[in-house]
Amino acid sequence: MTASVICRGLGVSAEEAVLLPETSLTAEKPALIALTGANGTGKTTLLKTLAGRQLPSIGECLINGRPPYEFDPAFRAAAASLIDTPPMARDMTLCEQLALVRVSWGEDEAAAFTGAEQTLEQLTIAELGERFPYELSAGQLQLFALALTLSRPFELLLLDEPERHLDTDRVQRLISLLQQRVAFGALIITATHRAEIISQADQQIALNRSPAAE
Amino acid sequence: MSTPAQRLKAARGIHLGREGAPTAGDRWFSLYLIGFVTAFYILPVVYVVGDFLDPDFALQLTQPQSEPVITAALTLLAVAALWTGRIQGPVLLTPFLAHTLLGTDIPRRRVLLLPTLKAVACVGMAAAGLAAVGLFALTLTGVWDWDRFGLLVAAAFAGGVQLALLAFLGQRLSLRALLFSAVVISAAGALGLVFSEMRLATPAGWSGLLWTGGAAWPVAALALTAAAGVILIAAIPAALDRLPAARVLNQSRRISEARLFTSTGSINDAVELFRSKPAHRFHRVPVTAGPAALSGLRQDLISALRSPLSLLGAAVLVPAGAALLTLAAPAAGESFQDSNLLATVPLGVAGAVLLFLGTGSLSEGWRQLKNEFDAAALFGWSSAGALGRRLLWPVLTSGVLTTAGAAGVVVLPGSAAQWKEPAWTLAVTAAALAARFFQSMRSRNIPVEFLAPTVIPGRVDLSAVKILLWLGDGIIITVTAVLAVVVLPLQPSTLVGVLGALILTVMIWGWARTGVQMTAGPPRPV
Repeated sequence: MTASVICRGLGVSAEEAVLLPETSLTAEKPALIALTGANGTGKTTLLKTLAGRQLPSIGECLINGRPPYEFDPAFRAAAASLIDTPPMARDMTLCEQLALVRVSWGEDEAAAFTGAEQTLEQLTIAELGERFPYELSAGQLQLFALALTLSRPFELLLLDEPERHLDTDRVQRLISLLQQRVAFGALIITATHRAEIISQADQQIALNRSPAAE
Repeated sequence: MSTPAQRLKAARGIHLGREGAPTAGDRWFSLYLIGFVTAFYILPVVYVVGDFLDPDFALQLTQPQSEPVITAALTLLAVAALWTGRIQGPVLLTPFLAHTLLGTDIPRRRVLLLPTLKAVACVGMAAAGLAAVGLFALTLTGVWDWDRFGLLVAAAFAGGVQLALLAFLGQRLSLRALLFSAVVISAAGALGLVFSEMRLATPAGWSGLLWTGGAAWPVAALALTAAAGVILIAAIPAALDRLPAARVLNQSRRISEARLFTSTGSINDAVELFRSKPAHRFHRVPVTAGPAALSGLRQDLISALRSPLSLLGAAVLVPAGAALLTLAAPAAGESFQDSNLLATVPLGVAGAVLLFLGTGSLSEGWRQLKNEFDAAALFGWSSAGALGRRLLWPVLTSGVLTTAGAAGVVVLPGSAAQWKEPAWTLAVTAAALAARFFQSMRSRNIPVEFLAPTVIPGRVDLSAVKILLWLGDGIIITVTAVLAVVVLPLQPSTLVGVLGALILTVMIWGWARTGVQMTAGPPRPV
């Protein structure tokens, strides 16, 4: 199977508002794909549709040959996403939360804690492992949200502006981490406004405002 | 690779070891508190109530004539449970666990089954506990023996489990299916008031037979249907596997935030979380067309139609509250009897609370009233005109819904209520609206002076009481108005005077809190 994501004439509307104008795209793994476009062009809606959280109004969308369906365990195993800020446990340290994510995917507890420390180190926040979420800055929280997402296995990763609150060095770090995952065979689709990410992506998909919205 | 069960156990192990585990102190303290309150407060009070209760009145409560009312109340509870599930169902995990575990490939049924069954059992136990307290008092009067007490408590447990299962349905079903189920149950309940056979078709309607001293088989039927429901949830994979993660996560987040707000005393912010979001409708309806005096009515109507579920909630809660108040009203004033207090006070208070909650979505337009007052002073509009515009919708709709609920009770065959009782109910509705107005006008921040200690003789500090009064002022005003009607042995004219004064005082106080006087006019050139 070469094509991982296929959208044909995919569009989303809510009553009279067009959230995503008709869009067609094909994305094959492994690749890092940058989803670009002005605010309101439907980037987040497209990501939500690919994640199975939004039903299309028209057209179709296939992930590995099947529509995204949250009730299908195989789909949940294949697709990870970071679209909204994920909920965090108030009374658990960052390491404990990351370890919980890892054991829920089958790692044993000792390996999960080691893996959690490594993920934090890759994201340059190793020293925060024993802190609680409320002790973090906005940028650190964004890095932790990325760590939670990257702690689970996936074939397809959907990210919505992962560069939020991050400085230039951290954005570069993020790009190299994503490229590492691509090297292991993943398909990553990320909505972004940052030129660094767009320039280093394997493919760029630009969304345009619908004629009706202009 | 470990099995889904092992993965789940390991994840829960980490969570229970860190965040989710109640400490030994929590557990023992909770048990101590429950035991202490039961032994030293609930049992003595219930014993005294049972001793005080007039046996003739107790017998009257358990006569076959009361069976339709019991069944109708249970049907109302069933519909309420169904709708409660839409807002907060029994499937509940902490937001972090819900997000993490529902995103894995572990079957959802495996993740959600244990918390769901625990919640269902807890609701059943809470229902049994509450029922046991009330039934204990009735049993002391000798209307039935202790065997019947045991049967009724068992029926309450099974009925509580059924209510929790209905809440699960409310959480699981689509909105259309939920509306259909609510209409079918309500219709069965309404028909049960007329045709006794229909009572067997209502959820927990069989308990009515048990209440009036019939055979014991309804307990077995209740237990069997409750057990069947629990088994179906566990056995049908789709029951929990097809529960949308977003719904569970939204409810988990909301209840978690509401708990946090409540723990810091921000009840208004906690309630705000449960307001329904407006739908995209009527964007092109001109709000300035037609008579200016009706513009507020038109705006409020459009706002209400944009949140149809809130409007539906008001359409259910206000008539239900009015019906309960009308049932309680005949005991007020001249026909007042001590023993009837045990029935009329809970009925009246429940009616007042339902009425107050129901008027919430009808008086949404008052949220903007303070801004309109400010704008009136700035731009030279009439502030009294702004008030008049915004009064129309809440007053009209509350009046119509209250009259509908009260009239429903009056026309019931064998009802003790006459046409003067709806007048009482309308007066209480006016008090509830006045309380709403006061709540909308006052600041949402607790005044600093409320935090200062208020020490009375005996070195008792009442500052916490002041804060509680501030937080629950709307309900307190409404319930006080109802208690004034139900409890005080006054003549109707005096009661009208008391209620009128209460409403007037609350309205003037609310108005004064906005900082805008009735006489405020346009700024004049100096």
